[in-house]
Amino acid sequence: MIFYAAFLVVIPFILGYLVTQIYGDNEKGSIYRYLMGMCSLICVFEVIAVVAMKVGMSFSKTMVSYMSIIGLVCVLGVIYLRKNLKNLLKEMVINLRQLKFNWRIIPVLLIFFLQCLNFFIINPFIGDDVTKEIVNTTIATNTMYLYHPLTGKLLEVGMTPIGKLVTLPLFYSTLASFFKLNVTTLLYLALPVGTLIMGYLVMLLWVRFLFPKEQQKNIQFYALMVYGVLNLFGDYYNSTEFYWVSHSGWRGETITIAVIFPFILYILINKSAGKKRYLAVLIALLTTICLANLSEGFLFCFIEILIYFLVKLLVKIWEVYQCRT
Amino acid sequence: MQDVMTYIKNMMHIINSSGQYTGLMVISIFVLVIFLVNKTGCETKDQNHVSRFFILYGVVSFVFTICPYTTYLYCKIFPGVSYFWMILWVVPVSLIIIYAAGIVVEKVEDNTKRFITGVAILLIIALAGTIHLYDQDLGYVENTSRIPADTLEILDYMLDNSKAETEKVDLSNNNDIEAETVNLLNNSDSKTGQIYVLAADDIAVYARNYNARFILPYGRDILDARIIYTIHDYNSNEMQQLHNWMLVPEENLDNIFQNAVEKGYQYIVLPSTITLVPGTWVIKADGTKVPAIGDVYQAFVDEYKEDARTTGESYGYKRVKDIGEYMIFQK
Repeated sequence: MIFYAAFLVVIPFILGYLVTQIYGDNEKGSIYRYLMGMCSLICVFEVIAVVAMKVGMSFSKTMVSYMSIIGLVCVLGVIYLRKNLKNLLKEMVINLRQLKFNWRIIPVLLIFFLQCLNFFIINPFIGDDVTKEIVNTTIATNTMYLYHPLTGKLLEVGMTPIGKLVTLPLFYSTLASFFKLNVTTLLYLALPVGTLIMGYLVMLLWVRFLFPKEQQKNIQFYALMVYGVLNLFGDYYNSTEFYWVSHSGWRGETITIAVIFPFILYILINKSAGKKRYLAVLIALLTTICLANLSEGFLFCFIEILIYFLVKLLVKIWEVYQCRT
Repeated sequence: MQDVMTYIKNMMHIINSSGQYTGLMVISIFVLVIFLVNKTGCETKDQNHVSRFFILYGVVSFVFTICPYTTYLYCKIFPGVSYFWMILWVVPVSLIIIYAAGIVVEKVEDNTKRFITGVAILLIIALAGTIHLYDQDLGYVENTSRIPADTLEILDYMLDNSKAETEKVDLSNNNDIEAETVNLLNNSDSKTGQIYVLAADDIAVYARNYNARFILPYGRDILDARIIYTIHDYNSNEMQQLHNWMLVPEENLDNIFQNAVEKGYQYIVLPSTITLVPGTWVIKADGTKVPAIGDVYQAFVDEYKEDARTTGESYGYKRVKDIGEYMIFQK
C-alpha cells in the first residue's frame, strides 16, 4: 500500500512536470502539474493497453510493459529536469518552513475525514457498475476483455471496439496486481479517497483562481468548506455528482464528473498558457476515453467545451455592449 | 417531443424528491446574477471577466439541460444512453455553488456578520440534502468484503469445499493465451480452480464481485439491461429461461436440476423456503421416478453411468449446508 501511494503521488508529479515543461505551461503550480501528470499516467496506459489488446498480449505482459515504460520515462524525466526539480524541492522546503498554521484548515479537514469515514462504514453503490468483476476476471484469467466479467465464460461475440477503449478497470487490475493489493480495499477504499482528494485539488485550483487576492485567503478556505459540506450532505438521487463521489468513487464516470470536468473548464478559462492550453485539454479529453464510455465521459466534456466557446462568444458580446453603453 | 418533456419532468421530480439539488443550483445562479450582473467596467482581463463567464456558463448549461430540444437531440444521437441524469452533469454544480457562496460571504464586511452568514449558508446546504453517513438504502458495512454476511458465508463455503477441476488443455503452442488461461482456471489446485454455480439472484449478484473463480450461467445484467451494453454477449434465451425458473424455484425444481446436471454445476443455491421431500426426486434414465436412498437429495440419475444405476449409488445433488435463508446443494 505504501508503494502504491508513493506511485500515485510521485510518478504523476514527475510526469506532469515533464508534460507541462514540454508544451510550455509551467506557471500554474504543483497541483496543476500533478493533475496533468495523473491524466498522462492514465493516457499512457490507455495507449499501451489498446495496442496490447490489438496484438493479443496477455495482461501480465501488458502490466510489465506499462510499468517499465512509466519507470523509464520517469527516470529520464528526472535526469532531464534535475535542475528544475532541485529548485522546486528547495522552494517546497522553504515554503513548508514558512507555512503558517491557519485554523480555518481544521473544519475543512474535519469535513474531509467525515467524508472518508463514509467509505469505511457505508456500503458502496455498485448499481450497474462491473469494475470489480472486470478487475477480478482480468487478474484471474491473465487476459484483457476476453472473458465475460459477469459469468466468467469466454466471450463468444466479444466487446465493441468502443467498449475496449475503456481501460480504467485494466489500469486498476495493473495496480492491484503489481502492488499486490486487495481488490476490495483498492476499489472501495483507496480509490474513492484518491478521487475525493483529486476533487479537492481541482477545487483548490478553482478557488485560488476565483478568489486570487491575498485578502481573499479566508474565502478560499470557506469555499473548500462549502465543497466539503455539499459532498458530505449530498446524499441526493443516485445520479448526482455528490452521490457518486461518496458512494462510487472508483468509477470512471465519477472521476470524469468530479475531477476531469472541472479540470478541463479550469484549463480552458485560465489563459496563462495561451493556445498551448488546448494541448492540455486534449490530454484531459483522451483521459475521459479511458475512464468511461464515450457517451458518459468524452461526450460530456465535449459538450462542455462547446458550451465554453458559446459562452466565450456571449461574454464578448456582453463586454462589447457594456463598453458601448 | 411530448415524451421528452414528460421524461424531463419526471426525472426532475425524482431528483428533487431526494433533496434540493436543483434548488441549490438555481439559487446559486440567481445569486451570481444579482451580485455580479450590474458590475460596471469593460476591462476583459480582470475578475469581472471570470464572473461574467460564470454567470453565463451556469445559465447556458442549465438551459441546455432542461431544454427539451437539446435533450431530444441528445437522445436521438445516443439512443442507448438516453438518461437525463447524465445530461445534468453538464452543469458544473459544485463550482457554481461554491462561487456563489464565496461571493455572498465576501460581500459581508463585518467579521461577526460574515461568520454568521457563512455558517447560515453551510446550514442551508446541509439541510437541502441528507448526510451520506445515514444512507439506509446502501446499508452499513458488515465485513471487509462489502458483501452481506450470509451471502459471504455461502460464497466462502463453496470456495472452501469446492472440488478441483483437473481438465488440462494442450499447451503445445505457448503463445496461445486462451489455452494458458483455461489451464490456469482449471488448475488442479482447489484454491484456484473454477466453481460452477447456479444460485438465486441475491447470491449470484455478488459471486463474481467476490471471487473470479465462480462461473455463473448468466450475469447480473439479466436483472438490469443497462449493465455493460458494450459487451455483445447477451444472455441467451436458454439462460433467460433458466433465470425465469430460478425466480420461482419451487415450481421448477425438475427443470433447474435437470439443467444443472446437463451443464455440470457443482453447486446449486436455493431459498430454504422451498419444501423438499426426499425420495420423490430421483428420476431414472428411462423416466421413471424411484425413492431416494438415505438422506441424499437426488435430482436425476445420469443416464450414461450404467454402473451407478445398477449399484444404486447416489447421483445428483446433496443438500450439504443451510446458511441463512438459503440451502446449498453440492454435486
